[in-house]
Amino acid sequence: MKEVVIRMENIYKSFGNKSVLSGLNLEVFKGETLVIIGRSGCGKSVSLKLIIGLIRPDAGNIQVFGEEITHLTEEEMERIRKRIGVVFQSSALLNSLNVEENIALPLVEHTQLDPEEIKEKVAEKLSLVGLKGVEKLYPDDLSGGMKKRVGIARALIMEPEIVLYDEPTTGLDPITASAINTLIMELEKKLNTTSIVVTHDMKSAYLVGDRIGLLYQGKMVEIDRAENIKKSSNPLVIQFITGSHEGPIPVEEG
Amino acid sequence: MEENITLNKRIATGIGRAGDMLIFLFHAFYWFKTAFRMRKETIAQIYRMGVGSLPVVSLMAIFTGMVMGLQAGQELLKFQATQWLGGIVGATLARELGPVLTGLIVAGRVGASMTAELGTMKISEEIDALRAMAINPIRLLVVPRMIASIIVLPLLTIYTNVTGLLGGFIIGKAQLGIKLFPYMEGIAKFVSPKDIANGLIKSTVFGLIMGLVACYEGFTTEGGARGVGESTTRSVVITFLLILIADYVVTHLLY
Ligand SMILES: Nc1ncnc2c1ncn2[C@@H]1O[C@H](COP(=O)(O)OP(=O)(O)OP(=O)(O)O)[C@@H](O)[C@H]1O
Ligand SMILES: [Mg+2]
Repeated sequence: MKEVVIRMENIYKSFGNKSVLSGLNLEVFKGETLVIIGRSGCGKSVSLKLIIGLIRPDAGNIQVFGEEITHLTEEEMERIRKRIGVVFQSSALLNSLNVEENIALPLVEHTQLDPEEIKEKVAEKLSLVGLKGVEKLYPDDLSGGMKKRVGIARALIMEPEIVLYDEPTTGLDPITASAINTLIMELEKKLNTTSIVVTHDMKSAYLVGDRIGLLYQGKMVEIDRAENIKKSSNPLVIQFITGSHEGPIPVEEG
Repeated sequence: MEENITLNKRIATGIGRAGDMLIFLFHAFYWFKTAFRMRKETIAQIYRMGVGSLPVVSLMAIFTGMVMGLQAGQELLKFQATQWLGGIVGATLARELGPVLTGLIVAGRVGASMTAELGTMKISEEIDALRAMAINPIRLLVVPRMIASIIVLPLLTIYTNVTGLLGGFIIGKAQLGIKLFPYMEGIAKFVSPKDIANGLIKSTVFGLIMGLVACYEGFTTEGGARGVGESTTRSVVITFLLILIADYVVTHLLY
């Protein structure tokens, strides 16, 4: 039996009268990379935010590292969050800090490392995402792809056991995208990191994903090993992975 | 009927937000325990708010003092009592005009920019990112700003009082030929230490109000750039109203 590190049970979440998740079930095993695919606006980012407790579900249970988190206070939740790295879809770098300060922030806040050690670690993570000499730049001076990579470096700085990637390769050129995919796979191999990767890019989904899940109408309609997803007979899955506007999923739905 | 429903709804959200703001205040007070740890950032905020406000506060204060010198001077002349000018200008500034005018003008400047800054951080998910990194955004962002507001307003109020007295003297000297010594004597006679202390208590309360409203409105911003604009406006309007209400309440309690 593989160890479950994230379990979401029967999750419901609405915003106003708009229901986003309705009965979502999800298990993520230690050391695997799970890819979540789904239409724009189907609740992928919301699902990731639920896992780190940034938003709370209307109903359902969420366990992370075996601990129920839905009733934890903001302060208790920090214990869990320190073990998880998050790459935001919008990068979400702090605009008032330069690249180096952004990446260093968790180390400054949570460790006693001296400035030299912090500098070293930041440079190491920057080279991991293929950036050099940008330490003193501010987020406003970076391209979208560079921001994303700085966001990834920041998410990895505490060497978290779980990393949640919200569209890590969207907006990147194919070469950098491939480097990021390799990075995700290497983290899994070398450090046994558990990852959830939200992506619209089927190529990287097959590449990095041990398993792939399709989120549709608030539920996981299919979740399976990547090679089985490729051969799936589920018309929803077929339409999504072949990228067709014809099929059971209507285009205008959001 | 329809109008009634929307009105009721607006009243209900208003009360709801007031309650939320109170809870926000308690959270902020709780995190004041980290004030020492946040001292560097707090000093930076004090500097930014205080030094940045000096030009506009100076202008406001000098002209207020001059207007008072002009108006009170004309009246005092009728009673041959121009030696009281310093006392009248001083007491009005210390008790009332100093704290209130400084509070309003600083809220319009500093409060608005705080809300816009924090609101932008909110909508660009920076505040969420902090939480995700197990960094409490109240501690990191609100504690330094609120403490700085509480410290800066009394300091600027003292500055307003002094500058306003100078403005009053300039007019008194130019128009009524008042000399410095009688002007100072008037101040000493009319302005009691209690007046000064009460004015500072007021401005401390106004600083708390400005910091609280500005941070709360920033943290609850939603809906993109338009949302930032709306919460900035709301922050200024609410701060103005609360300062005027608090002015009455505090005056009532102190005198
Ligand atoms: N804080 C919020 N307040 C109101 N509605 C929200 C909020 N967060 C998300 N939503 C809504 O929930 C739905 C799902 O959003 P989510 O960001 O999870 O989509 P997504 O699957 O990540 O889409 P994309 O692929 O475009 O990033 C959207 O309709 C969005 O408008
Ligand atoms: Mg998303």
